[in-house]
Amino acid sequence: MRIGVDVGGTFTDVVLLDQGRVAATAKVLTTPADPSVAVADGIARLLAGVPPARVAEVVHGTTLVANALIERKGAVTGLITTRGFRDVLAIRREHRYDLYDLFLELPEPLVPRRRRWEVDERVLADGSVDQPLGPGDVRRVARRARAAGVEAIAISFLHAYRNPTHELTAAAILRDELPGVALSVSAEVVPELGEYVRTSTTVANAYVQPLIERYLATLEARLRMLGVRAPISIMLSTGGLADLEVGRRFPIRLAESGPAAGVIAAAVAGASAGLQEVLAFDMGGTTAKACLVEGTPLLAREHEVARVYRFARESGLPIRMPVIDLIEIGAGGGSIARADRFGLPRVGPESAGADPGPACYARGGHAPTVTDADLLLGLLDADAFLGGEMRLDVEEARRALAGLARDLGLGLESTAAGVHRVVNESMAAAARMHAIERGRDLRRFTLVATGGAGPVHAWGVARALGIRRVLCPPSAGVASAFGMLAAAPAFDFARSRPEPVGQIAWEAVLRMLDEMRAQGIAQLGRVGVDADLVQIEIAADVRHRGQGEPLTVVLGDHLAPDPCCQVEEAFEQAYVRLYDRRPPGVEAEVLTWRMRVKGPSPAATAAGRVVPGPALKGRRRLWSEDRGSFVEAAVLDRYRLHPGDVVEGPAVIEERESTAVVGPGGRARLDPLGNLVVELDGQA
Amino acid sequence: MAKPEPGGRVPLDPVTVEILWSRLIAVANEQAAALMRTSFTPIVREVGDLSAAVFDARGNMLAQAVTGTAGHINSLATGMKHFLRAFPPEDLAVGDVLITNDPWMTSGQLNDLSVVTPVFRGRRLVGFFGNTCHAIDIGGLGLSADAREVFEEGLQIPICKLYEQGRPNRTLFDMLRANVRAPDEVLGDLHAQVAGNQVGAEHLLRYLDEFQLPDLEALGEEILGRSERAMRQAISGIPDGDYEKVCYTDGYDRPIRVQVRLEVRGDEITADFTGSSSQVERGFNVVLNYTAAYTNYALKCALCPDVPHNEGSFRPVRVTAPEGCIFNPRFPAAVAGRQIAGHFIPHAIFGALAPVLENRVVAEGSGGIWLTTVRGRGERRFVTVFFSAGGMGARPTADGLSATAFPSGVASSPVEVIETGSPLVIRRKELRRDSGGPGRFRGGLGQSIEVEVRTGEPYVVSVLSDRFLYAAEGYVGGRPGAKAAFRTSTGQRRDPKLSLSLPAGARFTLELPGGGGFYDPRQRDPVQVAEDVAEGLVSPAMAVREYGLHLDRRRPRHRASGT
Repeated sequence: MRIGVDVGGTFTDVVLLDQGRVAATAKVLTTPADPSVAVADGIARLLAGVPPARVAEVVHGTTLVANALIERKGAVTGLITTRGFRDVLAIRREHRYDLYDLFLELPEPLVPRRRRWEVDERVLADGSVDQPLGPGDVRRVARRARAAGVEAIAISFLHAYRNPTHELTAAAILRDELPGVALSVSAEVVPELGEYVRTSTTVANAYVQPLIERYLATLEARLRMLGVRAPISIMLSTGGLADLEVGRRFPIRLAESGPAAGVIAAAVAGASAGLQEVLAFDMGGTTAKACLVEGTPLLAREHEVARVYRFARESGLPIRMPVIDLIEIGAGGGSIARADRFGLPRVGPESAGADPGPACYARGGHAPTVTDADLLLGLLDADAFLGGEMRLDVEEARRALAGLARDLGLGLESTAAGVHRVVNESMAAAARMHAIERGRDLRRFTLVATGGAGPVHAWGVARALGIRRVLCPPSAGVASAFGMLAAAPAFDFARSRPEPVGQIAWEAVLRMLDEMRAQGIAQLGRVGVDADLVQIEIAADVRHRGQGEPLTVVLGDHLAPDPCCQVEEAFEQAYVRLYDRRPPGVEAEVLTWRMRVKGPSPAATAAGRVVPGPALKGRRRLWSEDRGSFVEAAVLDRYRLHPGDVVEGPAVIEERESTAVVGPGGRARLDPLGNLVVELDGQA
Repeated sequence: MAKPEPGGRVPLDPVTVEILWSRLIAVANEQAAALMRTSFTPIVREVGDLSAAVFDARGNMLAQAVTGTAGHINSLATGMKHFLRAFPPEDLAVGDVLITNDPWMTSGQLNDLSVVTPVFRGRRLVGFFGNTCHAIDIGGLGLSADAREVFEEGLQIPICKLYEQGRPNRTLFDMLRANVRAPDEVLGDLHAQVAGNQVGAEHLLRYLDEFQLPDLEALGEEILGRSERAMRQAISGIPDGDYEKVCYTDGYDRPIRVQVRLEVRGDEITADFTGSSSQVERGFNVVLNYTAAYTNYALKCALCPDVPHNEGSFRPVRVTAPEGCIFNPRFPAAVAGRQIAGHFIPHAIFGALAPVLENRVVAEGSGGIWLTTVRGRGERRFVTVFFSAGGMGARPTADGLSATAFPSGVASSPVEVIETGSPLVIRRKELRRDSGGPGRFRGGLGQSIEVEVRTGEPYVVSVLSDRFLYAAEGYVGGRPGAKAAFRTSTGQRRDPKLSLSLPAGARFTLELPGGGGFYDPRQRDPVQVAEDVAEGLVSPAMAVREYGLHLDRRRPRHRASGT
C-alpha cells in the first residue's frame, strides 16, 4: 500500500493505492499554521481499519515552499558575496519586463542590503584563485550575522560553480561560528554559470530552509504517531521523487511540487492510452496551466517564484532549477468578463476566485464570470455541480451577464457564448505560443484535461488549437495526489563548465559525470531503487560560441569514445529540429553538463469501479460553438459508463468534480483504464 | 445572426472582432518570437530588436508584434507606404518578396532589414505580412557613430524584389554576401525573415477561411476605428494647449539640444521638434521615423499602454521636425548611432507633459543604455562588448528603478558570462550611493563598474555613454540625479565616447548616472529616508542636506511644511 498526499492552498488531498489501484481518497481543509496537521488527519481517515504497518511508502508534495516565498514568511536571511558584488540581487538583469508600464514594480530582494556582506576572495572564470579567501573576513561577517539575528545564510561567490573551495571553506567557518544557522552554498545548491540567477536561487533556498526543516520533522513525528513507519518521499518540481534529506538540503527544488504532480498524472493518463504527444491542460478556478508532455513532461532549466504580477514573465524571483515546463494563464472558472476600452469582450486575469466566486454561487459575487457563462450555455447543470452538493443560481448568472450584454450590444446567450469562446481563445493562444517557442506543432498533440473547468472547456480549446482528440482521466479531483503515486524517483544534477567543444578537458568531464552518477545512485538507493535499475541520461547545454541561450542536448547514458563528435552531432540535430534551419559554421561550446538519474515508475491506475445502473441521466439544451446555436444533448453519468462504452455528441458526461463536453459530430469512448477519450471529428 | 448591411457586407459582432483581432496580433507575435529565437544577432535574440506586422491590401498596418524595443513602432507602417509606392499592387505577383534597409523609409539604420511579402488569395491581393530584423552586420563602419555620411555605414538596399514569383534575386543575394562580414549569419537570418512572412501569410489565409471572411477590409475597419477612437479619447484627457520642453544630451563634440512642442488640440497631438539642434556630421542623426517611434512610445506609456499599435492608433498623432534638424536629417547624413539622441525623446515628451499629466510620467533617467567595447590583444585578439544601465527617473508614486534601462529594453550580461571567454575581470559592480536624485520619490541609483583587463598588454576602451555634462532632471520639485563619470587608474577622467588607449594593467571605472527625483525631497517620509540611510543608498550627509533628516531623532522639521 502506498499513500500520496498533496498539500494545496485550500485542500489537502490524500490518495491510498492498493496493488496499484486507487483504494480510497480523502479531501481535508489545509491547516496553514501547521500543514502536517491536515496531512496526518487525511491519512488517519484513509487508514481507518487498515493496519498502518501495511503502508510501504508515503509520497508527499507541498506548496509550502512557494507560499513561504510569496508571503515572505521565510527565515531572517543573510547573504555573503565576493567583495564588490553585494548588489547582485538588486542590479538583476538591468531591464524592465514590460516596456510600456512606467509604474512597474520589481520583486524586493529576499535579503535587504544591510544583511548582504562582502568578503575578500576572488576566483576567476577558469576556476583559478586570484585572491585567496580571508578567514578573518568570514569570522567578522559571522559576528555581524549573529548580531543581526540571522537564521539562515546564503553564500554565493563569483565562479563558485567552477571552483567551490572558497564557498566550502567559508561554510565550514560559519558552521563553527554560527551553530544552528541554516547554510546554503551556491556551489551545492546550483553550480551554474550566471551570478544573479545563481545567487537568487541560493538565497531563496536559504530563506525557506529552516521552515521546511521544521515542517518535515513535525510531519515525520506525526506519521510515526499514527503508526506509519514507512519511508516518506517528496515530489520535486521536476515530477521526480526524492527522500526527505533532499528536501531538507535543497527545499527550493520543491517549489513547483504540486503542479508537477498534476502534470505527472496527465502524463500517466496519456501514456496509459498509448499517447506520446500530450498537452496537459488544467483549468481551475483562477488559472489554467499547460505543459507539453512527450512521454515525459518537458522540463525547463529555470522558473520564477513570487511574481509581482502573477502572469508577467520576469516579474518574480528567478530560480535556476530544473522544473516541469509549465505556463500559467489568468483564465479559470472564476475569471471575470468585461467590455474593454474598445467595446470588446475580455476575460480575466481578474478573478472572483472561490470567494465570493462566480455570481451563480450566490455568495455575494455579482461580476459575470466564465462559470456563469458556462451555466447559461448548458455546459454545467445547476443541480449537478460538485455532485449536487452546491446548487448554482441561474438567475444570478443571468443578472451578472446582462450588464455585459448591454455593454457589448449583444443578446444574453450570445454574450455567454462570447465569454466562453474568448476565454478558450486566450488559453489556446498562450498554449500555441508556448509550443511555438519550443518548436512544437500542437496539432499533433492530444489534450489531456484536468481541473474542475478543464473538461468543460477542453472541446473549445482543442478546436481553437486544431487538436483532434481530448482525454479526460478519471479522478481528476485528486489528480495531483494520484500523480505523486505514479511518479518515479529521479534527481537532476547540473554543473557549469564552459568550454568550446574542441577544447574540452574530457577526463575532467568524465570524472565529474562519474561523481554525479555515484551520488545519484546512492541517492536513489535511499528511496529503495536498486543500482541495476537506475537509468542515466546525460545532457549538455550547448550553444554557438558567445551566443545567447543554449539548447539542452540529450547525449544518452554515456559519452561516446569520440565525445566531441557526439556533442556536435547531437547539437546539430537538436538545432535543426527546434529551429528548422541549419546552424551557422560557428564553433559550439558547452556551458553546463547535466545528468538525470531515474528509477522505475510504480504501477498506478486511477480507474475506479463502475457504478451499476443506466448511464443516461436525461437531456438538456447545450450551446454548440460549432453550430452557433443550442442543440439537444444527452446527459450521462461518468461513473456508470463501462469501459468500451461509446457516447455520440452532442453530450455532456458528468462526474463529481467536472463535466466533459462532447460537441455535435464528436464521439467519446471510455477506455479500459477509465480514461474518457473524446474524438472531435467522431472517429473514436 | 447579423444581417447584411447595405452593400452586402456582414457587420462583425464584438466577440468575432475580439477573437479575430487577438489572433491577428498573436500571428504577428508568433512570427516575431520565431525570428527572435533563431536569430544569430544577439540584440535580436536577447532584446527583441525586431518587429513583425500584418497589413491590409491597401497597406494599412492592422497589427504589430509586441517586441522589446520602441524603435520599431510604426516604422514598418510608414515603410509599407514606401513599398507600395515603389511596387503598386499591379506590379506584385504570388511569390514576390520585397526588401529594403533605407533608414529614412524604415527604422533609421542600415542594419535593420525590412522584408515584406504580399499575401494572395487565389490571384487576389488580400494583405501583406512584414518584418524588420536587426542584422548582425551590414558592412561599412557598422554601429559606431564615427561615420560622417551614411555611405560609410554599410550597404544600402533600395526597395527591390528579393524574390520575384518565387525566384530568388541572385544578384542581390551575391551583393549582400560580398558586402557583409558575417555572410552566413546575415543570410541565415534573412532567410528566416522570408520564411517567417511565409508562415504568417499561411496563417492569414487559413484564418480568412476559418472565419469565412472574403478579405481583411471589414475587420480592418473595426480594428482601426476602435483603436483610433480609444487613442483620441485618451488624448482628449489632456487640456488643449502647447507644451514645451528642452533638454540636452552631451553629444560628440558639442551638446545636442532636444526641443519638443506638443500641440494638443481636442483629440489630436502634434509633436514638433523645431528648435532642436541641426543635423550633425557624425552618426547621431535620428530619421523622422525613429523620432516618431519614440514619440509614439512615450505618448503610449503616458496615455494608454493598452492600445495596440496600428494605423488607427497613429492617426491622431503627428510628428514633425524641420528638414536638416537632428530629428529629421537630410540624406546622406550618418545615422548609425541614432539611439543616443533618440533615447532622449521620451524624456523631452514626459517633460512637456509633466505640468498637465504629472501623475502619468517619470522623471528623467540616465538616458541611453551604455555600451562598453574593449579591444586589444593578449594570447589572441579580442573584442568584448557589454551593456549597462544607470538609474531610471522617479515616478510620481514610487522611487525610480536602480540600474535599469529606459527607454531601452536591453538586458545586461552576467559578470561571469562577460569574464568567460574574455580577458576582462570585473572588480566591482555595485549601486552608486547618493546617485539617485533626491525627491519625495527618489530617482533610481546608477552603478559603479570597475574593470581590469588581464592581458598584460595595452588595450582600447570606448563607451557609448552620456550625462557627463547634463544630469537627469527631477520633476515637480525633485532634484537631479548624479552625473556620469569615467576614470582610469592612470588618472584620466573624460568622456569615453571616443576610443581611449590604456596601458597594460590599467583599470577603468564607469560611474553610471542616477535618475531624477519626483516632488520635493523634504516631503519624503522620514522613515523611508532613514531606511535608505540604513541600506547605504543615501549617505547621512545627503539625508541631512537634501531631505532635512534630523539625525538627533527630534520630530523632522519638514513634517511641518506638510505634504
